[in-house]
Amino acid sequence: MSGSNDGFVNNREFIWPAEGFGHVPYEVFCEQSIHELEDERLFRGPHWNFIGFELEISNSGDYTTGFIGATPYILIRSADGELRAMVNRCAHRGAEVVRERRGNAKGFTCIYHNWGYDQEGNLTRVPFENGRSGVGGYDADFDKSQHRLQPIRIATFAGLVFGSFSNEAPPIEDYLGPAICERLSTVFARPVMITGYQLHTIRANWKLLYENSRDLYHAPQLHKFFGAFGIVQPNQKARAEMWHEGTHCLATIYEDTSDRKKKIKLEEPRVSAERTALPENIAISIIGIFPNCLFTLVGSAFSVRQFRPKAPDRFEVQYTYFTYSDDPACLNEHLLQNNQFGPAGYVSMEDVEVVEKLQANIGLGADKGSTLLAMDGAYTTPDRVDHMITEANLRSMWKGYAHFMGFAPPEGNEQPKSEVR
Amino acid sequence: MTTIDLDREALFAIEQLNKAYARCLDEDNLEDWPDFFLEDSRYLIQSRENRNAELYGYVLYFKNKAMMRDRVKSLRIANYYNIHTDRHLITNVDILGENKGQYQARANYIIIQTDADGRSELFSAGEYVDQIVFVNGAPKFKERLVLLDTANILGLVAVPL
Repeated sequence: MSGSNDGFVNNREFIWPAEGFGHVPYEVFCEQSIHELEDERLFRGPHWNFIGFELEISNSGDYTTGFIGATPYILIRSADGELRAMVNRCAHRGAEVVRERRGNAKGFTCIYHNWGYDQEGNLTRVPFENGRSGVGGYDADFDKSQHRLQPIRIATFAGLVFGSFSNEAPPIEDYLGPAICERLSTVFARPVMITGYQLHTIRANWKLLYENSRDLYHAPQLHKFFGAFGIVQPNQKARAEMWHEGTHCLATIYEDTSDRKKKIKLEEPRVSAERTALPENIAISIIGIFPNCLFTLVGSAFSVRQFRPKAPDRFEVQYTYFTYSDDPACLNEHLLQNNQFGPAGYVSMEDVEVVEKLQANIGLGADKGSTLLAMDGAYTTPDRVDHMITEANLRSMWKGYAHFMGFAPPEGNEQPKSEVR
Repeated sequence: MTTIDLDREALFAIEQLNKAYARCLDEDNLEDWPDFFLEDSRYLIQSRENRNAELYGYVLYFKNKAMMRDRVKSLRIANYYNIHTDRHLITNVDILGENKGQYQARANYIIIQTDADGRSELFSAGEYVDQIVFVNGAPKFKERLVLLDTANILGLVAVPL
């Protein structure tokens, strides 16, 4: 089995621990070589990365920028109305072609040597291409068409734009899977508006937060805001549906219609998602689309987070906040409820604290350990769970992660009958 | 001359307000923090980028003093956040205008944050954009907008900036 492994870490084969996916070695959060391999196999691999909303670039020449993994991108609507994405790296020396976060442009000029590109990324201008007064210039066979900005494949779904560096990435509907497609279609059946952006640096491995977002076990334990103000109870009806080898997760928590025993009341209760704009009594929907994004839909507080790993122990999150634009009441609810999320959120600050301190705590000393994910069956990696007291959906994620990274699976011990040690 | 004297007095009072505000937060007297505000007042944290783009994107959006009291209560009884101390440095306090007793004021701030192991770093830099009124001679915030230069927030914001 280890023969199929082509993931190398520190010049040796990386093999998942024989204990199975209920054990995640600290190395995957700390090793520089794994961080680099992730950029190649995940962010630049046969996957789709969320790169923006169509509505952010509704006019010809509108553009937005960001990162897919370590690679900077430009997303633009060109004059023919088509969306184009390309690497924001000059074909000449690799400088940043667009320095603004977003804007509108007929084309782009790199400031270094003034190489110019059109909206499609074609190289259109090279100063002194033919030299001047008989000196300098490029050779006669210099072909500008061979030096365009590297194009990025694009797919759209429900007004969301995804980019991929790989021709192997499947059609977007297949990639997202039926459950996520249905949820996104429902959520985006109404018109939305962007309400703002936020950048956030977290001193931890990006996978700790990606994993945390589907961790239903932790929510009522860590986030005392819920319990103290009677918002979410652990027996609340919940569901997690996995796709893409377990790496995507559609987590859904339904409104609790039973009596809420509120010990303490907020003076401004509208902060705590008293009113949900989501259909079908859904109180919370968190959609993890591997590898780079998380949609958090709670009441009227909507956001999408793009993950940008910077180092094994550091990543940035770009938040894009949005709400429905067809009901003015939504905006007020959205602004009030957003106090729960983001870098200062009532229920998100603890996640930052936990992953940062966890990262600092594991390190890579001689004592190489692993995290334990044994709740709700130590070895199962199901496609679906229907309650909150579980880590099974986390094991499913790590199984898919190991698969896409090319790590050898646990040797013949994936679902043993013996008890977990 | 009278106008100038009044403005000087107001500026002095607003400088004192900022000093007291900094001391309150630096000494972790969070329970006193809402009392720098009127009942009908707003406390907002927003990046300059969102402000310039006329977007919302508030890091915190408190539209009345009750929400500020809620925040303090939650931090005290419910939330876990980084163990730290803050050190506010507030300078360049200015009055930009006055209308019917409401002063438009501003100040620069930086916050140095020190963690449980005694490591200090620059946590946040930006500007306070304030609406201030005097109640029985004491300045109170009608609005304090914390306009972030440090829009890429490092870690988390638990206690007010």
